[in-house]
Amino acid sequence: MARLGMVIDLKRCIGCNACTLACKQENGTPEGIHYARVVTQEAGVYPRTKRTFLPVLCNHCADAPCAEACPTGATYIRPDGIVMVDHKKCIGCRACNVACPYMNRHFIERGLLKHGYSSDGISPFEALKFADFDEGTNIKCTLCAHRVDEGLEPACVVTCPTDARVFGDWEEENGKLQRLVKERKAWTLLPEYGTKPSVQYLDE
Amino acid sequence: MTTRELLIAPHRFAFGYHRQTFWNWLIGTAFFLGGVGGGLFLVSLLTGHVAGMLAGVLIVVVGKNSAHLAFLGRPERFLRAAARPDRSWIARGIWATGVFAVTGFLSVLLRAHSPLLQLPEWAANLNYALAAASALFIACYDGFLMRSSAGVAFWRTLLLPLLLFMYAALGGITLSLTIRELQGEAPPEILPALEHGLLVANFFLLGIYLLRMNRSLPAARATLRQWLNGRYARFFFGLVVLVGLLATLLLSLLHGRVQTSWLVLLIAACELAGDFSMMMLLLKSGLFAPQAAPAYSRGTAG
Amino acid sequence: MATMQSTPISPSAGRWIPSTCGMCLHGCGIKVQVVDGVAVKIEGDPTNPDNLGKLCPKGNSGLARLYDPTRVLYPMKRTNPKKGLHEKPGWVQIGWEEAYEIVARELGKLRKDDPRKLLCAIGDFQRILLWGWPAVFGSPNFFTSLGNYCGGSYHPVNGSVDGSFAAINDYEHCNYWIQIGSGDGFSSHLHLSGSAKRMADARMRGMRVVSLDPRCSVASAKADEWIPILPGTDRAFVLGMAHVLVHELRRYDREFLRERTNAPYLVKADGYFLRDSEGKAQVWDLRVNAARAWDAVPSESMALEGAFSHAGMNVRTGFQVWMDILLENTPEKMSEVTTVPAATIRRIAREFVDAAQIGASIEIQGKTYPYRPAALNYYRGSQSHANGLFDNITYKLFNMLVGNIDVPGGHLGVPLDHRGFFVSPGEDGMLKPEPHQLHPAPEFKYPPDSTHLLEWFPIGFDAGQLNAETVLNPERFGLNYRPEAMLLYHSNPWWNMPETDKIEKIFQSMKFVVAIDIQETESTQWADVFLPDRTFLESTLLNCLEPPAVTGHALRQPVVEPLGDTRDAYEILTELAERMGFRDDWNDFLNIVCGYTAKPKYLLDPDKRHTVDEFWDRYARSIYGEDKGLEWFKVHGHAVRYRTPEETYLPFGNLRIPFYFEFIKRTGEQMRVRLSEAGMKDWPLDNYQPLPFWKNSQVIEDGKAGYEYYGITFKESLHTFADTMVMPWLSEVSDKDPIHGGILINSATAGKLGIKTGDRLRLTSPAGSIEGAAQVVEGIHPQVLGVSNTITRQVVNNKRVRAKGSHFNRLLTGSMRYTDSATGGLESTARVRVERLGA
Ligand SMILES: Nc1nc2c(c(=O)[nH]1)N[C@H]1C(S)=C(S)[C@@H](COP(=O)(O)OP(=O)(O)OC[C@H]3O[C@@H](n4cnc5c(=O)[nH]c(N)nc54)[C@H](O)[C@@H]3O)O[C@H]1N2
Ligand SMILES: Nc1nc2c(c(=O)[nH]1)N[C@H]1C(S)=C(S)[C@@H](COP(=O)(O)OP(=O)(O)OC[C@H]3O[C@@H](n4cnc5c(=O)[nH]c(N)nc54)[C@H](O)[C@@H]3O)O[C@H]1N2
Ligand code: SF4
Ligand code: SF4
Ligand code: SF4
Ligand code: SF4
Ligand code: SF4
Ligand SMILES: [Mo]
Repeated sequence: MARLGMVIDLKRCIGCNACTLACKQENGTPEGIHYARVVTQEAGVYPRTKRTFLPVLCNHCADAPCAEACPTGATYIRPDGIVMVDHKKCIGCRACNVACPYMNRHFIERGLLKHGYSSDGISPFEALKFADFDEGTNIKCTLCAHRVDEGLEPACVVTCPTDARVFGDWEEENGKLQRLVKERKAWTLLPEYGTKPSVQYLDE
Repeated sequence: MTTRELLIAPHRFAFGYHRQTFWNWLIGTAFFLGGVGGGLFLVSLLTGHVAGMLAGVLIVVVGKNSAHLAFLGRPERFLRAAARPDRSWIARGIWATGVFAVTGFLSVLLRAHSPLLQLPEWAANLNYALAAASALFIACYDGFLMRSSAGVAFWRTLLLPLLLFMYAALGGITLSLTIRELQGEAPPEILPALEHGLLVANFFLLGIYLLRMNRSLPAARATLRQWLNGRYARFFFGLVVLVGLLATLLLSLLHGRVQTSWLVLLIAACELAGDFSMMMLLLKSGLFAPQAAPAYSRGTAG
Repeated sequence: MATMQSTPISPSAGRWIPSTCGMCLHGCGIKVQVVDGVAVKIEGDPTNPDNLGKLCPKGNSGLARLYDPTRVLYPMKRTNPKKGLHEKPGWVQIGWEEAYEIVARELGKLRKDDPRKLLCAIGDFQRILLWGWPAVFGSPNFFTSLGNYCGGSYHPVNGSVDGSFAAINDYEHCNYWIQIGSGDGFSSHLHLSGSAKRMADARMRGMRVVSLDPRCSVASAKADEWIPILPGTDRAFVLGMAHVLVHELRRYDREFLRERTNAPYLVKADGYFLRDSEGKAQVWDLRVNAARAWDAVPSESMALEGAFSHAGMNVRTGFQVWMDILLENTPEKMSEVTTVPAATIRRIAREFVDAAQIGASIEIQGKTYPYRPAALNYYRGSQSHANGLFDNITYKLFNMLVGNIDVPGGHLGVPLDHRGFFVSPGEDGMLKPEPHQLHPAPEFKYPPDSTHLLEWFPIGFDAGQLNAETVLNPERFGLNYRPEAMLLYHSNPWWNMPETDKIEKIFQSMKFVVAIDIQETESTQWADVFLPDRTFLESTLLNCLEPPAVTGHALRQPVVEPLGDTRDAYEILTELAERMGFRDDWNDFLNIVCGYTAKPKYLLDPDKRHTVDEFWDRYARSIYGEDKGLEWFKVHGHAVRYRTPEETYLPFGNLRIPFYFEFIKRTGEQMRVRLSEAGMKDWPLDNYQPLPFWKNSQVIEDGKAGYEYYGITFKESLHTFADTMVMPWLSEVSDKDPIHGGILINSATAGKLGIKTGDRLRLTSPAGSIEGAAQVVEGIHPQVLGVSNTITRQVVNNKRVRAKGSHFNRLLTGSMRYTDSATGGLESTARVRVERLGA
C-alpha cells in the first residue's frame, strides 16, 4: 500500500507558474484548463505589503468528496491514493465539481476540443494530446499517474525551479514527506472540509 | 469584513471566494421541476385529482428529465449514473425517476379508470404506494444531493432537503389549485388552508435555514451575507420572500374573498417564481471557500 | 496500475533529444521528447549544471512556440505599398529564390551607394557570433536599444572592474543579499531556472534578502524585507549607506582596498593621479611619510585615507576623495531623495557590514580566500538611468568597501562566455579595463559613421536609443547620410526602443525593410520581405551565455523536421552575403570572432559556403578538441561544468581593480578635446568622472514641470520581454495576475485621484502618452505607476490573445539629455502626469 502525495514549500516557491505550464505541456489540457495553478494574492497595506503565491493542484484526498459524489464510479481512488477519472465512464454530471471544495475538477465543455490554443485548428502537438480527452467529461490532475507508474516524478515536480514541490509516499516511514512535515510547520488546505488531503504545505 | 469587501475571485488563479458555476440553470430547472412535479403528483394522488397527477408525471418525466439530459456532458451515457445507488443520490434519483415514470403513469391510468389497465386491488395499491414513495423521493432527493456536495458549504445542512420538500409540497398544492381552477373544479377545503400553512411554515423554515448558515463555515456565511445584503439581496427579499411568500400569502388570503381565475393564476405565478428563484439562488450563490495559507488568512482576512 | 483517466503519452515513448532552450536569451539545457515526429514534451536536462533539470514557465512553453499557428513558415513579400503600424502588409508567399533575389538586389544597391544607410537591429543573443554581419556589410549602425536598455552602463563597468560581462552575488556562500532593481534568482536576469534554485537553496540555509524596488516585485515579495524606493534614486540610498560605513561606523575592508584596488593612489587637485617622472602612480608611504611609486611600497604601508602635501601640492588618496564626497551623502539627505527613512538606510548599512565579516577567510578546495558573505546585487531597474555610470560604480564601490568583489560570499563577476574574464595587465599595476566586450573599442570619428554615435562613446555601450534623434536630424550630429533601409533579425525595435513616436517615423521613412523573424511583430509591419527563421527546436548552434556558476557550451539541435519552408538565420545571412559579393569578408570576419586566426586549422574557407552544421562542428572542435565536434555534442548534449574556485574567485590575481576610475576622467578629457576640435560644442561630457556622487537627473528635474509621478516598466518570469505575450499558453496565465492587469497604481494614490481598478488612465510624459486600464494595488510606491511589459503589445495575430497596447516606451525619451554622457546608457524611467479618462 502507498499513499502518494506532495509537500509544497511556500518559502521556496516564487510563484513562477513553471508548474502550471509543465502540467500544461505534459497533459496537453485544453484552453482554460489548468490542473496545476498558482493562486496569487496581495496581502497587507503599503508599505507592509506581500504578494503571496499558493501553488495548488488536486489534493488526492484520502476522503475524496469528488469520488464520493460520483454516481458512475468514473472517479475512483487507486490503491496508491491517486484520485482519477475514467473518462469512458463519466457522464458529465458535474457532481464531482460541486463536491470538490478546492475546485480541482475540470469539465470539458462541448466544442472545447475542436479548436487548439491559438487558432481554429489543432496543432500536431494538440492532436496527439487531445486524442484521449472526451468532450462532456471531467478531467483532473492525475498526479501524473502515467509518469509515476514508470517510476518518474510528476511533471510539475521535476520542473519546479526552486524545488518547492516534493513528491513522495506518505506511508513511507521517515520518508521524504514525513520528514519534511516533522521538521517544519505543515498544514493542508481547508482542513475543515474533512477531505484528508495528500498535498501538504510548509509555511513561508 | 463587510459584504462589500467580500472577495469574489474572478478565476481559479485568484484568491477569494469562488462562485459555483458548474451547476447552472438547467440543473436548477430540473430540481425545480422535480419538486413541483413530485409535489403536484402527491397532492393530486392524495386528493384524487387525475389531471394533477398526469401533470405531475409529465413535469417530472418529460420536464425534469429533459433538463437533466440536456445538462449532462454525455447524455447518451446517463444510465451509467444508476450504477451506485448505495452511495450516490444521483443514482438513487435515477432509480426513483424510473420507478415513478412507470408507477406514476400507471396510477394515472388506474385513477382515470382507463380501460387500458385493469389491476387487482392489491396490485393497484402497491402501485399507488410505489408512485407516492418515488414522487416523495423525487420531490426532495435533490436536497440530499446538494447537501452531500461537499464543496459548497451553503448546501451542507439537513435543512436543505427539508426546505426543498416543503417547497415541493407548496408548489404541488399551488399547481393543483391552479389546474382545478382552470378545470373549473372546486378544490377540497384543506388545500388552500394547507397552502397558507405552508407559506407561513416556509417563511419560518427559511429563517431557520439562514440562522443555521450563520453558524456554519465561513463560505456559507459569505453566501448568507450575499443573500441578506449583498449581490443577491434583491432577489432574495424581492422574489423569494416578497413575491414567493408574502405576496402569495396575501393574494391567497384575498382569494378567500375575491374569486377570480386570474387571481389564482397570479398566485401560482408568484409562488412558482419564488420557488424557482430560491432554487436558482441556492445554486448560484453557492461559494467555494478561499484557499490560503493560514499565515495569510491570519494576516488580512476576516 | 493502469492509467484510466486517459492515456497520456508515456514518458518512455519515442526519443528524448538533448538540446537547449531558446525561449529567452539564456539557453538552459533541455531534453525534448519526440514521438512519431512530433515534439511532445520539453524537460530540463538534469545533467546540465546550468539549470539542473529545471525549466521556467517560458521554457515549459517551447512547444507552443514551435507549433504556434501564427508563426511565419514561408518567405513572404509585401503587396500593400502603404506602411504603418496598423496597415496590413498584404503578405504573399514567395519562394526563397525570389526572396533572396529581392533582398540582395535592394540591399546590394544600397551597399554600392553607401552601406552605412542600412540600419540593423539584431537581438539573437544565442547566435551572438552573427552580430557582426552589418559591419561586414559596411554598416556600423545598431538600431535597437537591446542591451542598452539594461546593460548600457552595467557591462562597461563590469568589464572595467574585473573583466566580466555581468555579475551576481555568490549564491553558494552569501548570507546577506541586497537586491536593487533586479529579478535575479526570482523572476528575471541570468538564467532564471537555475538561479531560482540557487536562490531558494540559499534562502533555505538562512540567507537574508533585502529588496529595493519601487514595486513589490517577486524578489520583494519573497525578500525578508521590501524597501520601496523612488525610481532612479537607488544610488542615493547606497551612497547613504556608504556614508554610514565610512563616516559613522568607520567599518570597511582596509586591507582589500589597499591591496587589491587603487584606492590608496594619490590624486591631485586636478583629479589625476600624482605620478613620478616615470609616469608611475604614487601612494603615500606611511613608513617615510612621503609619496612613492605604487610598486615601491608594500600595501600595508600605504596610506588608505588622508590628505597630504607633496611638492607644494595637496594630494589625497583616491579613497579619501570619495570619503570627502560622501560627507555630503548623509542618510538624512539621501532619505529626502529616495523617500526611504534615514533609519532604514542606517540599519541596512549596519546589517550589511555586520554580515560581511570583514577579515574572515574560508578554505575552499585546499585554498584560502577572503570570506565576505554579504553583497549588493543589482540590475536593470537600479542602473538603467541617465547617470547609470555613477549608479554602477557606486554599487561596485559599496561592495568594495567590504572587500567582497570576486570572493566567496561576495559579488562575483560573470564572464561573457567560455573564454572567462578578460584579464590582462594595464597601467599602474591595474587590470586593463575592458568596457567593451561585444566589439572592439570604437575609434573617435567626426563626422561620425554610425547613427547611434558609437564613435563618441569610447567607454560606452551601443546607445541605440539615440537613433530617435539622429536619424530624424542627421545634420545636427554631423551625419552626412540618411539611412534608407533596415534589417531586422530577432529584434523588435519598434517595441524595444524609447520614444516610440519617433521610432515610428523612422520606420515610416525607410525605403526597404527586411525581417528575419519567426513571427510578425510591430516592427515587421514595415517589412517588405519576411525571411522566416527556424525556431530553437528546428535549428543548430552551440550555446553559451553568461550563466552564473557554470561554464561551457550546450548544443541546440533540431528535434523535429522544420515546419514549412524556413531557413536558419546563419544560412540566410551567409546566402545574402554571397549574393551581395561579400561572403569572403563574412567568413574572414567569422574567423576572427571565432578565434580561428589563432587556430588556423579551423579557418573557414573564404571561398566556400559552409553549412550550418559545418560551421558549428568546426566551432565545437576548435574549443573542445578534434573528437568533440557536433556528433559528440549531439549525443552528450553539452560540455557544461561548474566553474572552478580558481576561475571564479579573485580572477584578477594580483592586479589591482579600480576604485578611483581615473581612466574614465582621462577618456572624458580626450573626448572634450576631440569634440571641440571637431566643432561639436554642446556635447555633454559631465559623467566622465572618476568617482560617483549624487546629482539630480533630468528625470528628477522633470518633476518640476508638473510631471508628478514616475513611470516604470518591468519583466516577469512568465515572459521574455513582451515577445512571449503573444503566446496564449503564457498570456492566459499572466492575464490572471493583477500585476499584469493594467497600469499599476498605489491604492492611496488611486484614492486621492478617484481612480478605481479598470478605469481608463492616460499617462503623459515629456515624450508622449499612453492609455490603459488602471490596476489598483498596494504593492507599489505611491508616486510610481508600473507598466508591465505584458500590456505593451499591439500586433497580435493569435486569436486568443488580446492586444493591450499600453506601450511604456512611448513615455521615454531617446535624446542625450536622457542618456548617460559617458556610457550611452539610457534612462528607463519617465516622469508622468496621470489623468483619469473615465470608468
Ligand atoms: N523572465 C525573464 N528573464 C529575463 C528577461 C525577460 O524578459 N524575462 N530578459 C533578460 C534581459 S535582456 C535582461 S536585461 C534581464 C533584466 O533583468 P532585471 O533587471 O531583473 O529585469 P527588470 O524587470 O527589467 O528590472 C528589475 C526590477 O527593476 C524594477 N525597477 C524599475 N525601475 C527601478 C528603479 O528605478 N529602481 C529600482 N530599484 N528598481 C526599479 C522593476 O520593478 C523590476 O522589478 O533579464 C533577462 N532575463
Ligand atoms: N518597455 C520595455 N522596453 C524594453 C524592455 C523592457 O523591459 N520594457 N527591455 C529592454 C531590454 S533589457 C532588452 S534586452 C530589449 C530586448 O528587445 P528585443 O531585442 O527586441 O527582444 P528579443 O526578444 O531579443 O527580440 C524579439 C524578437 O525576436 C523574435 N524571435 C524570437 N525567437 C526567434 C528566433 O528563434 N529567431 C528569430 N529570427 N527571431 C526570433 C521575436 O519574434 C521578436 O520579434 O528590450 C528593451 N526594451
Ligand atoms: S514551479 Fe515551483 S516555484 Fe514555480 S510556482 Fe510552481 S511550485 Fe512555485
Ligand atoms: S482535491 Fe478535489 S478533486 Fe482532488 S481528490 Fe480532493 S476532492 Fe477530489
Ligand atoms: S462528471 Fe463524471 S466524474 Fe464527475 S461525478 Fe459525474 S460521472 Fe463522476
Ligand atoms: S501532478 Fe501531474 S497532473 Fe498533477 S498538477 Fe502536477 S503535472 Fe499536473
Ligand atoms: S530561463 Fe530562459 S533559457 Fe532557461 S528555461 Fe527559462 S526561458 Fe528557457
Ligand atoms: Mo536586456
